[in-house]
Amino acid sequence: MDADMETVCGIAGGVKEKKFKAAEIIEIYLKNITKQETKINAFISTRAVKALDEAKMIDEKIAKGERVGRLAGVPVGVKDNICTEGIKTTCASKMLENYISPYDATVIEKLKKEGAIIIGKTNMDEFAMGSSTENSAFKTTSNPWNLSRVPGGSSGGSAAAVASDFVPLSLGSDTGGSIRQPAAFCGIVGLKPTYGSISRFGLVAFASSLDQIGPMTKNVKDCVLSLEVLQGNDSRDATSSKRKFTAKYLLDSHDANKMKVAIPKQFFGDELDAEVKNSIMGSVERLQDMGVKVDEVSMPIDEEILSAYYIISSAEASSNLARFDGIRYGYRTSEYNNVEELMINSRTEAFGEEVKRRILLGTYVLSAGYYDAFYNKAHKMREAIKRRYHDIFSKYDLILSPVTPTVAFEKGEKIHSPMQMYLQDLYTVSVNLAGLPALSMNCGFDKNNLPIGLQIIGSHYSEEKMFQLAYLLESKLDLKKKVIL
Amino acid sequence: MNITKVEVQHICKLAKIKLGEEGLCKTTAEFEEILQHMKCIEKFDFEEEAMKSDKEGMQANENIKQTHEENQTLRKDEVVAFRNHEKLFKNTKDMKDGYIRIPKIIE
Amino acid sequence: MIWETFIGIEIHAELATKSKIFCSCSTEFGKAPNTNTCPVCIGLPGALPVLNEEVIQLALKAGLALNCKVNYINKMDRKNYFYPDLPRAYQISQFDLPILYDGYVEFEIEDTIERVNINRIHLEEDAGKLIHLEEHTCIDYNRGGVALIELVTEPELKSPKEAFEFVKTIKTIFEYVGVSDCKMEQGSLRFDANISVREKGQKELNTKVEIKNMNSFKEMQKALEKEEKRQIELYEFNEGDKIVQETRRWDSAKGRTVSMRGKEGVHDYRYFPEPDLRPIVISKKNVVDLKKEIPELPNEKLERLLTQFDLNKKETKIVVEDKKLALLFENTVKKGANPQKALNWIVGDLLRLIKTDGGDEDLEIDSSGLAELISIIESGDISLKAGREIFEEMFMKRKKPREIINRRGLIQINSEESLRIIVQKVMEANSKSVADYNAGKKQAITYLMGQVMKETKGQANPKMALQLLERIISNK
Repeated sequence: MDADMETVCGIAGGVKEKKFKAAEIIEIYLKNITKQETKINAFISTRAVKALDEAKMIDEKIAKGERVGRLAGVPVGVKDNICTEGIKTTCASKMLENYISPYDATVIEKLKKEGAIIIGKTNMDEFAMGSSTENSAFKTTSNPWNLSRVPGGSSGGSAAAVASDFVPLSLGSDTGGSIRQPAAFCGIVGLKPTYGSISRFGLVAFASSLDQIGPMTKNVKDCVLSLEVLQGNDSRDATSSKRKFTAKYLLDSHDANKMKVAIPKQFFGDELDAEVKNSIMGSVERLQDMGVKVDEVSMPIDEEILSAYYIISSAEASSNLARFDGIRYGYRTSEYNNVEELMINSRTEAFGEEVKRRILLGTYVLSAGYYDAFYNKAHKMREAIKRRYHDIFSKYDLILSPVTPTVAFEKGEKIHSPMQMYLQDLYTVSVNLAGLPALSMNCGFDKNNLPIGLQIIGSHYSEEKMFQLAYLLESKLDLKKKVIL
Repeated sequence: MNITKVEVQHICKLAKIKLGEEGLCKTTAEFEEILQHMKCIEKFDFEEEAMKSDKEGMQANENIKQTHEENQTLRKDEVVAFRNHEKLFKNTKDMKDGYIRIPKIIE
Repeated sequence: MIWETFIGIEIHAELATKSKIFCSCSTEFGKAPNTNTCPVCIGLPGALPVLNEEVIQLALKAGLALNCKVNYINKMDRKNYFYPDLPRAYQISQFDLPILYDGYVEFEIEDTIERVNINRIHLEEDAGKLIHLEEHTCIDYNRGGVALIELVTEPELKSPKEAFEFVKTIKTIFEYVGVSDCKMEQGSLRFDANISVREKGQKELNTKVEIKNMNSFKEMQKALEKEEKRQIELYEFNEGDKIVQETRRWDSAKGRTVSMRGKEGVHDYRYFPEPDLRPIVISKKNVVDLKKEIPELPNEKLERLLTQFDLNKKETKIVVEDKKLALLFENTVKKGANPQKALNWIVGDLLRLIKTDGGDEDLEIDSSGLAELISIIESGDISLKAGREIFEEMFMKRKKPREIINRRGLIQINSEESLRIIVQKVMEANSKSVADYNAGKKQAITYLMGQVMKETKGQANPKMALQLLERIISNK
């Protein structure tokens, strides 16, 4: 594949400049999928014919000299919890196995308007609950760097699809690390933007106060362009921000090398794998070499934070997933004598184990007598975390940290221990609790050739700084390793 | 933190999820472990943090109000019908004469 | 034993917005099932609520009219429970921070002013409607997501009659302020009550019982009277422990309350702040501006009318209690009509006609028509009797009085010239009666009058005709 064809910026530019046709691009990517998808299992559904038709329409427009959007001809994979009119949106759940949304999510409208072409819906942990994509009701996605390993989760299909050259861009959603962790495991760039930057309208809610949609790409520039397209206020999402967003994040001249960066020592504790730690510290040194000022700071990320996250996210999930009762849409049991049984049996039969666990946990922490001990405390914790971050960002531009304690783990390794799986989120959940933006990018590989991720955390709406530093680091590291399937 | 099977069963009732005897035992055990971890949040000392925030809080209150006010997204009271209404109930299992049908509820 | 009764009321009123509380679907009543629906109000995955700004304004108006305090920052919460009429399996409502709190309302009962404190008024969405058929239950989500306010009083009402007067007062106020159309038959105003009794002198309140399914003011009063009696009897027979905190359903056909225990399932609403909506912030200016928009309230109007005009209080109260009647009255008077006469027409003929016409029809008597009719009668052009016929036709056929009078030739014969001819004609034809009269049988004149009226098809000015008769007979 021509280098231009590998990236979002390359394709959008090339299609517009008639270096190649959108239809050509789609064909190439579809071919990759046909060849490798059986190994990877990145998609829940694909739409080859319609994607090709749409590409041809874009080519016609270009031939006629009409305006095409900023993502003209770019194939996109969409996590299957983002509503797409006319294409199934299953959330990787038996509950929504045949569910077709009558409307497009706002992000889908935006992508379509800019000429992007949806190639398929990607696999995920059921209702985005999980860190390995093993909780999908339909299939388990493999990590393209090592097929016996997990791609991470919950946006594992989206991450694997980008790393496998099935798409140059996919959408994920991140509630506690669900974009960043799979991005790290698959060696790509994943962004969880500031809460409120990208409309959640049409994202099937897991935990509304934490969920954000974000782009997953191969490099920083692609991530930037994608965010520029996806961001913006939406009158249909009352939590969406009304601020004026930066239109262009990466200008030619910037001085990332003059930034002050904080390294929170608690993110480098005993649980952190030594190779991961070394790789990140190596990147930090590279930045220091370029003049970036780096200080170690204290940012407690104790178990309390993880608890706060699991309390709040499960509480919200228990409520958000209550609508799946078999009455209006979704799975309906065949075994019932009355409405009560219809609801109970439909939910019991169609939800997977992890989803049920979280629903029950969330119900428990909200129930009479426990609300104050759990939900209220978690809420206070959340405020405390915001203040701690606020303190750091009053002195530093950005925070650097690992994304996960380890590289991609083996399939089946943690699936039977919920607590082990939850610990995967140790470095990522505080960002969601505070509503901050964070970017995950590849910073090296371990001895088994598995990618290692680095996390850049910024203050609210500081994506510009994050991108500048990430771009600087990316160009200095110049990692050329590619997936070989 | 001790959680009993009876409590888990009560939670199941609220959440409209059924667990068999085996599932009930397993879930109770898992909850035991998870809640053990979650319990740490109870010990967390918010007082110091709260003291600090109280002062800021007073000044912040007006700011918070202003931020909320600026961020408030409200809708005008205008009627707009959903454009794709014919597909709205495409996923519904049992519909008759425009109604969604379910087993009879005895009130 | 002397018993004291404590009643608290919860009122749900659908707000008079065009669109629903969280989506742009119409609130129009009576549409085909599930037509006023969209992804938001049937709870499709991914759809999000956005609050209708008019909801805040109407709720504030209601609260200000009821002397409530405003929570300048308040928020929506989720109330979680499963029921097929609730599409998301949670109702977006307000829990610990209602938009309004600590208000009161005053109303008159048996010539004393009673004050009842209002604990809170909060915002919430209505649920869909379930229709129970032979074999199925059918769901219609048209009503789901219509904006409601819920008003909760302190348990301070002292009798079912007071509860009745209170609810009537609230309805009138809501209508005056334009908060809700309060159409009870369409369910836009609904109420539940809780009631407990205790022996006079006892300090704490006894167990209260909630009563649901009372579909009119009268039914509510009846249900409360029945429940009051049930509780007192149980206490008097030392069976007070049979009174448990529960919900009882009013069965109007059987005229009794029935326990709903066992049919409610487990209740634990697990309220928590609605994460899809930001807190609601209300500016001081908004409240100040709205205060100016609150119209004259019913009690103020009553007082003013009674001071301004010399009117019958009971009748005036009837008119004031209905916003449309009050408006008709005031406009009629503004157009020059005599106030007591205007009042008589409205309380008398109009209410009778509305009642026979089936009740809640929109008023079709306009003030200029009524003022005109009153002045025509005063001028003597038509008789009062003819006036009432005209009024009926005005009401039924929505015509102007002049139009009816002209068409039906109802103008009263007031000219002495014309009447004299008719009187003489009648006297000639009934010479025996004239003779009787002159012989001292004074009642013969009644017969002669009847003949005059018959001759004129009732259009003769009766006073004038009688004078003429007497004069002409005596002159003979």
